[in-house]
Amino acid sequence: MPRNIMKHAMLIDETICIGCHACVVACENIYEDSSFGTKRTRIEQHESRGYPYTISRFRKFMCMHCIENAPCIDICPTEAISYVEGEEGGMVVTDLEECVGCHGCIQVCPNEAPMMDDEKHVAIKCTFCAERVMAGHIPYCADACPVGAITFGNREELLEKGNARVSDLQRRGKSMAYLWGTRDTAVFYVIDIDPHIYRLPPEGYIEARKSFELPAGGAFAVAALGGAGLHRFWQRTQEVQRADKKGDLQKG
Amino acid sequence: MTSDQNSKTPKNLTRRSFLKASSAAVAAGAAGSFALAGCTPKEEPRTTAVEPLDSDVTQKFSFCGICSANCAMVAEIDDNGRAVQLKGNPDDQVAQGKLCVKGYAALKDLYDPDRLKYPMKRTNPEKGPGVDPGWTKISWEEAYKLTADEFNKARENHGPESIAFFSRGHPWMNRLREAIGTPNHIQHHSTCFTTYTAIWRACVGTGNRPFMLDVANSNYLLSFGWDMPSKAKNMSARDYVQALQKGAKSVVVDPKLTVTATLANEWVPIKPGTDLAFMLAMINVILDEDLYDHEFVNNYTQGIEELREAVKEYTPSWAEDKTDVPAGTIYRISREFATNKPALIPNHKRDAGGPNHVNSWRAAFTILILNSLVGSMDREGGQIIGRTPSFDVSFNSLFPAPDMPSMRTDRIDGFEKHPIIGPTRRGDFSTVTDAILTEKPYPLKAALVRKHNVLAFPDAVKSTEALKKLDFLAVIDIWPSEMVQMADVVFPESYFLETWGMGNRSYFAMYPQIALREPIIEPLHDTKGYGGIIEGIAQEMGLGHYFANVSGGRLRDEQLKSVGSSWEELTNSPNGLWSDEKPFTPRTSWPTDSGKIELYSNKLKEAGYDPLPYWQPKREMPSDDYPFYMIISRPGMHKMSQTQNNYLMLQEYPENFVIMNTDKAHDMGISHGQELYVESRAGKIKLKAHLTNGIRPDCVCVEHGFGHWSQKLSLAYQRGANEGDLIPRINIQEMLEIKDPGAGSAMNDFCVRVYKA
Repeated sequence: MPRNIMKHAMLIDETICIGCHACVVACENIYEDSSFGTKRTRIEQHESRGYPYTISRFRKFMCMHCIENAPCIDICPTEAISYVEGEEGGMVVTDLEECVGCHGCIQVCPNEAPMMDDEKHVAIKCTFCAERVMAGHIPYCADACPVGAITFGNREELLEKGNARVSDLQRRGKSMAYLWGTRDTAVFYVIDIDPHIYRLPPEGYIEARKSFELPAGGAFAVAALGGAGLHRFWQRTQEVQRADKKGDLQKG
Repeated sequence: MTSDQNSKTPKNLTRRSFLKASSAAVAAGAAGSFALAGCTPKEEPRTTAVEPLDSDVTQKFSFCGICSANCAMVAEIDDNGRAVQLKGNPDDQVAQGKLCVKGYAALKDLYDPDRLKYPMKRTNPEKGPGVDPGWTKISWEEAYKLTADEFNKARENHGPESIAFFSRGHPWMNRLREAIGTPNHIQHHSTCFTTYTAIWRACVGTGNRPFMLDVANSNYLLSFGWDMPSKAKNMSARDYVQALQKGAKSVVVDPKLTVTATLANEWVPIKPGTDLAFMLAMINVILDEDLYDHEFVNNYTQGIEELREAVKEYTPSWAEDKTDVPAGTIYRISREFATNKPALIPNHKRDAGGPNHVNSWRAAFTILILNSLVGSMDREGGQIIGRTPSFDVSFNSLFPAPDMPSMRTDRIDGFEKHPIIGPTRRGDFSTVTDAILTEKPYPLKAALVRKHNVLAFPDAVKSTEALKKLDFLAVIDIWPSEMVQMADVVFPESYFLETWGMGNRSYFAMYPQIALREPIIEPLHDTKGYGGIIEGIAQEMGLGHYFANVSGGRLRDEQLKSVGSSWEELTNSPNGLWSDEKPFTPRTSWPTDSGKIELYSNKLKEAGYDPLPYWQPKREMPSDDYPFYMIISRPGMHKMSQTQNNYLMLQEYPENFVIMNTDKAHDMGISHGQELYVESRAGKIKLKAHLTNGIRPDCVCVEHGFGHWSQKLSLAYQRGANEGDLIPRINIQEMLEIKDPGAGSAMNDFCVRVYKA
């Protein structure tokens, strides 16, 4: 049975993100998941081009809430991950009580959203603050952003807003400006350079069932000035590789 | 008053009833597939005792005490009396409904289990890194008595000047200092912005906050090292982004690709310490091509002809050699800056005009001149002289002091020898170390330190030695910092979220506004406020009569009455604010002798400084021994050396690195993450390499705030290293020879070598 597309969405304007991590801290202040460095959302900094033509961009990593066929839901052996049902639902949420820490969702997520909590052996990820949203509020990260780079609201309105922002950027000479992620997910990014540099697939969407390869190895992941983000990224990569070697993970 | 505190029913948010309804809806729709556990806090929350939404939430007003911008906050308290969330106050012109990353994380500071919980005394006479002070809990009375006895002993045996206060300005502390009779009040400002203060005092006639900006309404932003967006300063980041969204052009001149630069239209990687040359050439072009704002310059400034003469030689071609920026670029930027109004060179503390290099005061001067030439002084989209409310009532006028003892004028740090900046009593972090060690001009025997960390001093290792030399050190702090570990007696101060106060928006005030600070919770530990601790020491020293009838509450009330409000009105305000919102009226006179902005400064000349910003190179250049320029920066997730023990902030920025150019590092066989030594003529530190193409190949950058050696800071302990160990200190004589009217500590004016550990 086809589900209704979630009516909520999040628009992240990466062209004005200052990489301050206020969104991450506001989230972590409430959802005190996890071991040190394990977060529901995180900021990575990526750079491209050699000195002095260097460009650098931030990206807020989080669950993009695939609007249908989320691979993490499919692979989860304990049905710990599910869609919230109902008119106001559609968010992809995790029941940490049911999670057995199998790494399945981490392996199949094309967006590197879930992170393993090494202490509790559960995979945590963003839930779009489902409970809060259903009570009529917006997620903590969107509420916190000091520069207004994160907007949460009605999907149609945000598509309009995102497209308007993209037109505005293009008018000002940012010919690469693009609204990324409008096809398969509930998180849209306004970007102004090649999606590769943000570690976003160049197709402009994440094809939910296809695992996508990271562009050009770690070349773009060098910056991550926060340190922790990069560290987690390597750690996670190693975890997955280790698990792969042991053969105890299914491929998505 | 107290009953009024509890009668804020209109502000109290009761979400429980609302939530019950919505939860029921969730449950009905969930059909078993949705478990709420996924979006509620973990089973064993570290701070929140209850789910944040399923509770009665009470709101309390405060303003942030992490930095002096003082964003007004709304704290949410759950029905167990636990603070669960801090938000920005939407009616505050500074916060505008948001906080910065540090503000959002502040509850972790409040509930930090490592906080100082009661007064303590040291039992181990040995001091320094790696030494266990052997802390013993003592009563407040004993702490006061120990301190008072030691201070009285120093005063009697060595004179009152043998006692120093290391603290931000505070009327209680100042009263005690004067009652003791010591001129020695030392603050951190010589490492922060005294270069700007001096120039503004000389040329504008006011210099208290020479960094208030209307960035949001600017049409052309030209930054010389200004990078408040990457420091996450709430108002700066927001206003910068707003300006960009409105279509402002931003050009960033900086050796490092900062956050400001990544969002800008153009990054100009200039050679460190040469911003002055760039700006002198800009003045040259703007005057030569007659691009300056005649209306503004003719009416509101003086000295344009002397200036024209002074910059004649400083052409863009001349500057190209100095700055490593093509002359054509300097021409273009000069013209753009002069013709896109309102244009602004924003500034805030440690940018090109901050006390980084021995020529930085001249850069501060050229920034002032350029902002004046384009008519952006106290104009919308320009540099603002704050509409901060000024009170007719002060601590001293309301509580007049009995006769003060006479006081010698020569200070331990020689700060009085600087005629422009001396009267501000900001003090000098750089010169005080040598003065203590050499006992020149005289021996220092005892000190009281409040919330200043020895890690922040230039040549921190030597500064630690200097502190060891004191017979007695009392420290007032919130956390067991390195300074606390050096103390003989420790006074625990309350965290700002546990105290009363009011803030007059001194960092950003387009109109007069005052914010209320009420305790969001009762103090968690046996702590007191700064003023109370000072009074306690004074009583024991036999100086209690200097504080007769002194009352913080009454001071606040009288100050508020002087602007037409009252403490009662403020504490009952529905939004925790008093506002006198009125349209911005540009200033037409300046508080200088001439009533104009003095581009040629008689004040500087009379004081023996250059009256115009002639070219001067920075002090130290790369050499075979030390081939790299050193840059010091600060990550947005931390406030100086104060927040590294905060779980949330540490998680976002857990250690500092040696940031260096990728290609350069590869040439040297250095890879990302490799351990390196950074060594200057003052010291060396060990850190991991962080490679980026966003920095000049001849520079390395280290971020400040790390290298904590206090074992009592359980999270921050031994993370990263302190770049302060590398900064050469300056003695009083050297400082005078530099002839910087701001007596800045030249924090970045040295070079380093980098090699594999």
